[in-house]
Order: sequence, then C-alpha cells, then structure tokens
Amino acid sequence: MSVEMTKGKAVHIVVNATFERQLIKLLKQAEVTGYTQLDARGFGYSGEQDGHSEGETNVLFIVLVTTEKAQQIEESLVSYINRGYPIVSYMTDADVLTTNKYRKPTI
Amino acid sequence: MGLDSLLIPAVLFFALGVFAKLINSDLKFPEGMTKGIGIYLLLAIGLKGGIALSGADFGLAISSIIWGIILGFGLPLIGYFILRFRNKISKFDAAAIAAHYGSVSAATFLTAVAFLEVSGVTYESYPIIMMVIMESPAIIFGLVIAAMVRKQMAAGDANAAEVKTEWGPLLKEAFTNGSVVVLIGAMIIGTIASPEALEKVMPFTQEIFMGVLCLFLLDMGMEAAKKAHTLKSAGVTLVSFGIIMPLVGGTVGIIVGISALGFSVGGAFLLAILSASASYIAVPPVMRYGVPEANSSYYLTLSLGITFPFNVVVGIPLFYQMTTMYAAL
Repeated sequence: MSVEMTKGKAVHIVVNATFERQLIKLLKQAEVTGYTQLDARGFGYSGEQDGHSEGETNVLFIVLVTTEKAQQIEESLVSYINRGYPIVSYMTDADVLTTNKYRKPTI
Repeated sequence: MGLDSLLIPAVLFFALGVFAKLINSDLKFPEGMTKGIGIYLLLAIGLKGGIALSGADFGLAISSIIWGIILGFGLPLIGYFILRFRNKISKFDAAAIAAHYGSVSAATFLTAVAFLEVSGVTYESYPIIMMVIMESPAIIFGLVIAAMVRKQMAAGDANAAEVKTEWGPLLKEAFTNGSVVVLIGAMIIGTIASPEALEKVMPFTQEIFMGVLCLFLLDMGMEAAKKAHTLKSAGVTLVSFGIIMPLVGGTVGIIVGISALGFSVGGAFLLAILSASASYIAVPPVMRYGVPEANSSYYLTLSLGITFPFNVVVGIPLFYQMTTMYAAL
C-alpha cells in the first residue's frame, strides 16, 4: 500500500526568544496552518545562547508550507535581519505525509 | 568595618561560582532554576519592603519615588555621554548599554542588604521602592535614544527606509516585565496583608532568604566568569566604562541618599548600590528586541562580567566607607 506524500518546504527559523512573539505574528500573517517550536541552544555571531536568561535563549521554529508560502515567509524576515535581529532561516524540501486531516492546509 | 565584612556566605558563594568555572567544573544549575530563584528573591524582598512601608512616612516615600524617577533617567543620560565622549562607541550600543546602567541589579542590592544585616547596620525600606521605580525609566531612555538615532540616520540617507519603532509592545515590556510585577505585587501584598497572616509566611520569605541568595550568587559567579571570556571583544573603552560608571552612579546615589532624602548610612548605602548597579535580567531582553542594532554581547559582558563582580567585591565595602564619610561631613 502506498501512502500519499505531498511535496512542500520545511522552513527552519532560529530566532532569539525575545523575537518569538513577533515571529508568530509574521507566521500568522502568512496564514500558515501551524508550526512547531523548540527551545534551542547554540553558538553564532550573537555569541553563546545557553538559555540562561531570556535574552540568551533561542527558539527554533519549523513550518511546513508550499514553496510560494515559504518564499513569502523568508521575504517577511529580510527587513528584520537588515535591522540587526539575529535570525537564521533556511528551507529544505519536505515530503509530507498528508492524511485527510492534513490534506487541506498549506502544503 | 573592614574587608572582613566581605566574608559573608553570599559573596563567598559568588567566588565559588567563579572558581568552579575557572577550573572547568561541570557544576550547572538545572534549566529554569535561576529564573525560579530570581522570582523568589524578588518576592521576598518585595514583601519585606511592603511590610516596612505600612509603617513608613508617606512624604518620604513620595520623595523617594520622585528621586527614583530622576535617577532612572539621569544615570543613563550620564552613562550615554560618557560612552559617546570619545565617539568610539556607536550610538545604538551607547543607548543600550546606558539603559542597563540606569536600571538596577536586584542581586547586587540583595548582596548589599546581606552585607548590612551581617554587619548589624539598620536601613530604611525606601530604597526597595526605589529599586522598583528605577527598573523602567532607563529602558524608556534607551528605546527613545535608539528611535532618535534611527530617525537621524533615515534623514541623512535618502535611500534608507524609515524604520518605525513599535512603541506599544516595548513600553508594555518596560512596565510589565516579570521583575516589576513580582516586586510591586509583593510590596502591595506586604502592605495590605494582616501582620498575623504574614507571620505564617516568614519562614519562607525571611528565614531561608540568605541561603537562597547564596544559591543565586553561586550561579551568578559562574555566569560572570563565563562572560569574562568575552572581555577581549569588548575593548578597553567599554571595560573601563564598566568600572567608571558604577563609581559615578554610586557617588550620585550617596549624595542623593544623604543630602536630598536624609537617609541613614544604611539607606544611603543601598541607594548608592542601586545607582551603581547595572541590570542583567530585566533590561537585556528589552534591548535585544527594541534595539537590535546594538551588540548584545557588549551589554551582557559589561553588566554581568565586569560591573556585577566589581560591585560585589569592591563596590560594597567602598560605597559603605564613602557613605559613612559623607554622612559624617
């Protein structure tokens, strides 16, 4: 039995926790149907993000969307990156299992 | 009172934290523990302040609030001009750093309280109100300066798109951040709750307070040592500022405490510590979001890696001596 998979994009966005609310707002404006968010630690040009305080905590967002919507999300981040917000974003191809429940949304 | 007074458990645990990091110990607090301890400490000190306030002089309380606001805006202004004096620090960095130095560090304040209690020196409760008041004005100062700089840059560059500052969420954060809510809330509860009922929570808020402060400072010691690794990137100008600014702020605090507010040595000393300290809990997240153009490693390194250890080790005995001498004039 073959399962139905739909091709789309997985957008990964790493932001400082202080940007979390704004990012959720942007994702809602892009009308994504959902996202997954994880606390993240790491190191980059903003120094070590070890989760000790709110300003030193990162959050990783993963959003499954169509290619067009993925572009739209990336575009909405550009102005913030230009202003100096530490945002790392990349997208990968995603084959998403689509059941009845998940058939409709953005994929 | 000599340097022996520094041999209080809280300061020694701070030193232990620094030592643990220096020898690369795997000592680490569970995630979220420091945040929980921080809330406990603010709750306990707020409650203590509220209880003391219920019998305090209303006029002096109002004067303390007014001076708290003046210092809250005045100290970052002084800090900003010191940072910009040689034109080596960018305006955004200067605004964000100055905001940290206008706001306060509750941990430094509590260590100073521990120092006074071990030394048997009495103090007024008004500095606790001032700690609450002084949390927010500096944040507003930093945000306003950054917005002005952005406007200036947009005006000077015809191609640059004007960046609008979203004031609503930023001001909300400045006045409703966790520290402010817990402190004000606990103070109100301490003022209005019945003394009999409050006695029941004393074992939690007072008897174990110093022990919990030791835990907090152990973690702060580790964090300060970790930040010290990034001192090189901060440069001489910023590192010097991390020591000069607390000396300036502490001196202003002593003068205001003794001459303007008529506090005792203990009270004026606490105000000096408030004025000398730099925030590293409430302000960094707001600046990170509100002034993204500023380099966050600068202000965190300065406030936690330089000024906090400086105040705990040098500032506390120094400002106490200075306050005693000024009060005797």
